[in-house]
Amino acid sequence: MIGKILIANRGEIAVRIMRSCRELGITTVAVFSDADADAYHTRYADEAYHIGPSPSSESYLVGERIIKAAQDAGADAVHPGYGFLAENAGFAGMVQDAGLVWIGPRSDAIKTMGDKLTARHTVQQFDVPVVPGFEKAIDDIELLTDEIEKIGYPVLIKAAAGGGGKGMRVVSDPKDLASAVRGASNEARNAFGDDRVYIEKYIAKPRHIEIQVMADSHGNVVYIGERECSIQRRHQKVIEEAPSPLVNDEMRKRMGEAAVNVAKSCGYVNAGTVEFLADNDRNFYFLEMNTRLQVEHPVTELITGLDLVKEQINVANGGKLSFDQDDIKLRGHAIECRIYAEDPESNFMPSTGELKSYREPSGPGVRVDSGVVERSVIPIFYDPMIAKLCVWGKDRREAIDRMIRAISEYRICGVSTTLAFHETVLDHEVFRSGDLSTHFIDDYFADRKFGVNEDEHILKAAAVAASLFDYQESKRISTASGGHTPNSRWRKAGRKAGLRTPLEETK
Amino acid sequence: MNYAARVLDREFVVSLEDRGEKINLEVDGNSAELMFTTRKNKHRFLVVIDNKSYDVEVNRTNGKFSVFVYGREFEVSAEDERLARIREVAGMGSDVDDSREIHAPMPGLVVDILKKKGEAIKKGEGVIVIEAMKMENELKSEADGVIDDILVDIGQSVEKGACLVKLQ
Repeated sequence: MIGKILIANRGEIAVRIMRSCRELGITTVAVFSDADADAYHTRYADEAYHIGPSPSSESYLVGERIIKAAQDAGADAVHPGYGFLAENAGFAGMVQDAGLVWIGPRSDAIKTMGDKLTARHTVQQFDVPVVPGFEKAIDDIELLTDEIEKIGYPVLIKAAAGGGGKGMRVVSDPKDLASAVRGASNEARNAFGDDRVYIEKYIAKPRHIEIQVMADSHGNVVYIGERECSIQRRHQKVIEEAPSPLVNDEMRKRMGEAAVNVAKSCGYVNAGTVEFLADNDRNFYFLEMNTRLQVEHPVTELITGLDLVKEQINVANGGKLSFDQDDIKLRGHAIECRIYAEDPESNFMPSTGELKSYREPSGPGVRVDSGVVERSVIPIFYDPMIAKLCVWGKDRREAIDRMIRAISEYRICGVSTTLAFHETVLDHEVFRSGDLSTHFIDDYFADRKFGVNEDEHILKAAAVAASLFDYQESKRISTASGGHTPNSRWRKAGRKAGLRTPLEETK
Repeated sequence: MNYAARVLDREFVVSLEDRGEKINLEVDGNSAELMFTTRKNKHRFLVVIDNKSYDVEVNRTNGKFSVFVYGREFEVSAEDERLARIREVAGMGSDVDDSREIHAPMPGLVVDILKKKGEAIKKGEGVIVIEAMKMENELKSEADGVIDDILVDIGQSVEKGACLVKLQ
């Protein structure tokens, strides 16, 4: 039995996993770098082990140190969260070789799905639709020209080892093909140390829809509904929702069964996500499988009532899934906004610093997964996500309205955030209509102006507040020698006239 | 005391006058009822203007204010109206010095320089690309001008706040 788990991660996901552990009575072990000595996940855990300097390459990415910490702590299992070493087949193997339970899929499944070309090839054996394209890396462009004509331009050049938009090029004109392949290949070599690129048909207005799957070691594989993650910036998801406004029961069943086949194609065990591109005619194509718990898993939890982390631990323990396909019932609608320390109007430039003030929203249907508290510092070394703000509503409309309400309650001072960006996107009529695509931000917010239509009275209040603050400060300075401290909380403002010096005279 | 307060593109004249029992408020010449709380933490207070309630937080950074209200943080400049007017007459913007230099907003690595010394640039044009948090960030000029000097090279690590580019 698993009685103690080391969480090989930081921030909100480390805290998220520890919460489920605590409910299960499992002891939690945190690892932390120099920058995270005072971080919330370090404080939340029952035990904490320092694993090195702040850069992740010297701490959270050093498998040996994490395994040593697990052994020193006497942990039974390691949960990798997402990012860092979560999809590193070598690390998964090391954990198991050290006699620890790995809360995730076997390393060969991670390896198969980690290479996009291998994954594409593997899933086709199980009749899973893929985007029309080629099964192997490009070596001779001349030989390909005729075949590309058959697929039809535009085409997309992608890196085999790719991710995050690196090594990607759209080609609309055959004469640009050679230089695009060269460019993508160079970029892929720099980013991934692997210059293999391949060609797929470019889907003009794609939606990103993914299926959550869960598999146990007894051969049971269940799909747990979809999530739509079409709203992206820098090729990264920022708003996710479940269910998708596009998907109906029939499509859900087709996609779910395809996802189960993808999982079976690589002997998958534990939680995983099969990502698809979809078009508005409800065609869908396999994109890749993420062999870990996803950032956006809470929206699935909110509409199903499941705790995916608990189920991961159960399955890693050798247990059978606690539910079967017929038990999965979707109820209501959930949305997640990833709140980043970024300035949306400067093309989402990261903003680091201390959270001078921090208060999370609450109330009906609100869930906040965060790894920060007031006075926390957003370090420069890691992903600048502050929190995942999630809401549940009885339908999509209520969920959107509730999210906007929750955003209005969120107080984050000291760093720029994406809160206003989220509010603007959610309230956009096209978003409300559910007509989404991965180009949404570029199509409707090309100028990167978010929340410019501020109400006059709010601007006025801000002007008054700043002026009043300065006025009070000046008075405080000018009367400091008086030793007068007002205590009453609610009062008509002002001090006794005799103690004041009008500000004009002090200048 | 009259303040010239600027929020986004809006400018307000905020008059505050201490009347002992209360502070009289006028915004752009229109009087409004003002109430506010004082708390131990003087940065956070409640302002009620004509019975509309605003839960605010004010922080002063680099001579400007950041005001958090209604779920947003606004940058507000509020200064003595007479000083603002003198500055205006003298033909200087209040933040004229800030925009003539481009500083690193975070520690990072210079990965690209998009402009050359002597080249003319417009406000909002990208000048330099810094990699931090595994992402590339294009730094833009906050003013029109001509590049006077570029103080860094590609491949150089820079500290937060370091001056990277000077404009004429």
